[in-house]
Amino acid sequence: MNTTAQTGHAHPNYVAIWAVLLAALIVSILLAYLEHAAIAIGLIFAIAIVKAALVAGFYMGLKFETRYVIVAIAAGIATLGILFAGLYPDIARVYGG
Amino acid sequence: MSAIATSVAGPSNERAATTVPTGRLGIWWFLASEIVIFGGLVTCYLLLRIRHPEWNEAAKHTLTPAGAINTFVLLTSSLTVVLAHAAVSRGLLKRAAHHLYTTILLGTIFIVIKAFEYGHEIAEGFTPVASLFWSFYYAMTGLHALHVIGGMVAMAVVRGMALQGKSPHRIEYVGIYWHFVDIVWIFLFPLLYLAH
Repeated sequence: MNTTAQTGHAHPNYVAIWAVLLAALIVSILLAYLEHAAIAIGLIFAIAIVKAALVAGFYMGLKFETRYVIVAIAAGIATLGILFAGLYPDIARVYGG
Repeated sequence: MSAIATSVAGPSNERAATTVPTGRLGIWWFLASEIVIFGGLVTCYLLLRIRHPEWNEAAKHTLTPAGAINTFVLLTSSLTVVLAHAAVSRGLLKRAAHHLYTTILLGTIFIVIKAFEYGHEIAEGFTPVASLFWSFYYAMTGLHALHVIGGMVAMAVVRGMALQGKSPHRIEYVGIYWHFVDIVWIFLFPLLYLAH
């Protein structure tokens, strides 16, 4: 029995990915103490996106999934986009911008 | 090939048209709905936060060390649950059960730390009605904590069933759910603790 039986792909080195995630966490925390807040926040969220992509891609196996799964996720994101389009005018009306 | 491994890879678990096991496709559709729930909350929070610079001051009162430790705990629990999935796909059921047990333990640690944070913040006067920032804080972290608790219960059930040889492939499904909960926290941590 090989490791691809259920997932259809070989298992990557999960411990190495975990180490990268921890390193990214430490960098995020250190960035929070930067003087230039705008740059720090931008970098912190960029790192969060990379961390989420690593978890989704390798731990959840999204990198190896078929288009049927991608469609499901895309449907969720598209619905969120519709929600955003519905909410934004209301918040802009109350708060401006 | 063990009986467990055979059942994991068995044809009854996979749709011929999609080549994706039904349960796995189901959990992804469930997560698509979760994207809307958490995404909606985060979107509202971001839209309002941009217009409320004074929320930065409120965010300084969240316990960053506790949030950082909880991020470490959840990232590690994602590792243990994916190791459980890797173990079960090799037919190593007891090892998978051990990894799931560790994951449940880490989830419990997360909840205990979160409860400590809530206690500290409420004692300081930062209750859910103290300001809109704190309302969002408790709504987002509370909903997330409920998902952690739900995941732990599901994991305990799946673990018990798997040890009896029933549906061990569900370890992968509960793992996918758990990783999603981890991803939500990956964004909540900078949104509520670091950005101020």
